[in-house]
Amino acid sequence: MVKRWYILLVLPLLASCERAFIGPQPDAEAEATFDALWTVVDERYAFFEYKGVNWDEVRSRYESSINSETGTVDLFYTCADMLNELEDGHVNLWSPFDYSRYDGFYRNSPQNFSYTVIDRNYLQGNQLLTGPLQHYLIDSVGYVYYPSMSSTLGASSIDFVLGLYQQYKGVIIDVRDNGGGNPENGFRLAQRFMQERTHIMDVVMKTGPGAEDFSAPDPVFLEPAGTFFDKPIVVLTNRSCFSATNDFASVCKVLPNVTLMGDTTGGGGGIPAEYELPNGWVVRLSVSQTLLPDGFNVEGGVPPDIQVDMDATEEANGIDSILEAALGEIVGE
Amino acid sequence: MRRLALLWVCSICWLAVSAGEPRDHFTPLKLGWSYHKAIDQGMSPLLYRGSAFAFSTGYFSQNDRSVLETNLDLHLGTISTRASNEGLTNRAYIGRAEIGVGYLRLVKSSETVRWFAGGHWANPFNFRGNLRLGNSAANYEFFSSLGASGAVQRDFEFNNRTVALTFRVRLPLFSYGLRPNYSGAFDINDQAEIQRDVFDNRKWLPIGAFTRINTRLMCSYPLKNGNLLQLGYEWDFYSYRPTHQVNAAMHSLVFSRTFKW
Repeated sequence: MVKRWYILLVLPLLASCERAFIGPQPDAEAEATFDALWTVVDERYAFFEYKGVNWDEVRSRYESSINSETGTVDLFYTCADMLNELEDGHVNLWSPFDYSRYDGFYRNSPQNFSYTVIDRNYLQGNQLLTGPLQHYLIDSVGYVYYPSMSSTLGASSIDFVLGLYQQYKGVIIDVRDNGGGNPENGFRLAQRFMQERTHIMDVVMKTGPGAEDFSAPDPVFLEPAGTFFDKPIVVLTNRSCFSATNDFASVCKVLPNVTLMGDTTGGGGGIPAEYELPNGWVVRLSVSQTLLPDGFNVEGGVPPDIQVDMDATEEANGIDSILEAALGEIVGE
Repeated sequence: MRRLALLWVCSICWLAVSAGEPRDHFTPLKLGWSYHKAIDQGMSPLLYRGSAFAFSTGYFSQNDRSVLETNLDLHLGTISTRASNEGLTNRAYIGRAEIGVGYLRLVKSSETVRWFAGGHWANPFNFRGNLRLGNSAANYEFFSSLGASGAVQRDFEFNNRTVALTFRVRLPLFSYGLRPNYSGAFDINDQAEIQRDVFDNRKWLPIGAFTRINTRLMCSYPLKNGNLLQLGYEWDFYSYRPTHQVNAAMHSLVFSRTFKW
């Protein structure tokens, strides 16, 4: 009996076997890293079908340039080029020396916004700064500029600003060049534009490695909050409205009392998620799809209700054609 | 599966109730250090390692025939990985909490060695926060397991006191598990329902889907007033396969001042 008891004392030595249980540090060589990156994207990316991307074919074009001799920098830019085939602003690759990004969603389109024009000829330094919002009364219409959804937009700031312009003819919310941030900020603003609980979008999440592995559409509802703004509302957009700003435009698209004006937004309807690669780099990619209640996929952007582009001649003369059109829409000229 | 789990709970309760003999009651206060290793395929294929501060308390009562033990264990620290060819050191916060109940009954004894067998209910929660990963920063597992336990205790004389050296092993049989969803990211467009996303990916786990081995070696030295000084080493390993595999191990060394009621 005593001998058997001593044998049991050896059991803690199981701990020494744990390396076999847990597994080794993965191979971080170029080929292994490339393979891990391709696989992560293959199994988790949500828009292959929507974008018509054949990921196997993409691999075949890039993997030939990767071998055991490939240096870190070459590996990075090869991987970056491969990721940019997805044409997704939410897809990035981080390394210690650079991070890859795709900006073709706005770079190939008219900018349709000039802050200089707004600042020099409309605000002229008279704007109020309430939280992240810059706002001013232009022709009996409240003009509200929100430059970044990364800046927290509190309820008190929104209520103060909208309360200020409630007595006038309407309000213009300018989110042009707003590249996104936290969608909650835009939703908090949109809550003042609705009177009842509203079905604003459906979200479909990737649920497995297969191409068809998606959740059922999950409806997202937004509750009204604060004081309802009962005057006309025009939201100005351009192709640089991305991610959370695209979400805000999506909500506005659903609301009947809000008019979207300008250019189609830049898209970015997928929720971005990040994963590490064997060499320590981080890849970010979209793992969900966002659909309007009518089934429209907003990944490619939300089209405006009224398409207006900046006129280059007018811009040179300090006139914002889109803002002027919005003023006309509200004032009725 | 659920019926078997219920049967298991009833068996443990019956054994606990049947042990109506006079018992000694103790509350341990344990402090120590733990070393952690993990590969969580949900966030990274890399092996993370690091140490944590360990604290544990609970309650146990025992007599010559049985031991009833509850425990609350906490570990807080950081783990990191050094990606081999980049000079990168990626870091994550680690948190581990466990609440459990165990019952052991004497099944065989000799003059100095006693053998126990019984069951336990363990509820470990493990969290890894890798802030570098943005929306996928939160990675976690929670398991509620009913399992079998065994222990062997040997008494020996040291400094004119009877010192007990106990080795205990726990293996889960029926488990309920929780992990982040496949994507590892919450639906940030629906922040009112974030808590639903947290609990979305939970399921009863068939045997083989969740493997855990928990061993503890504890040396108990009695003081004159009946309190105990205890020194314990615990090794814990678990592997969870569904969604993204996670393999993790912990070595913990704790010193305890244990108060007798």
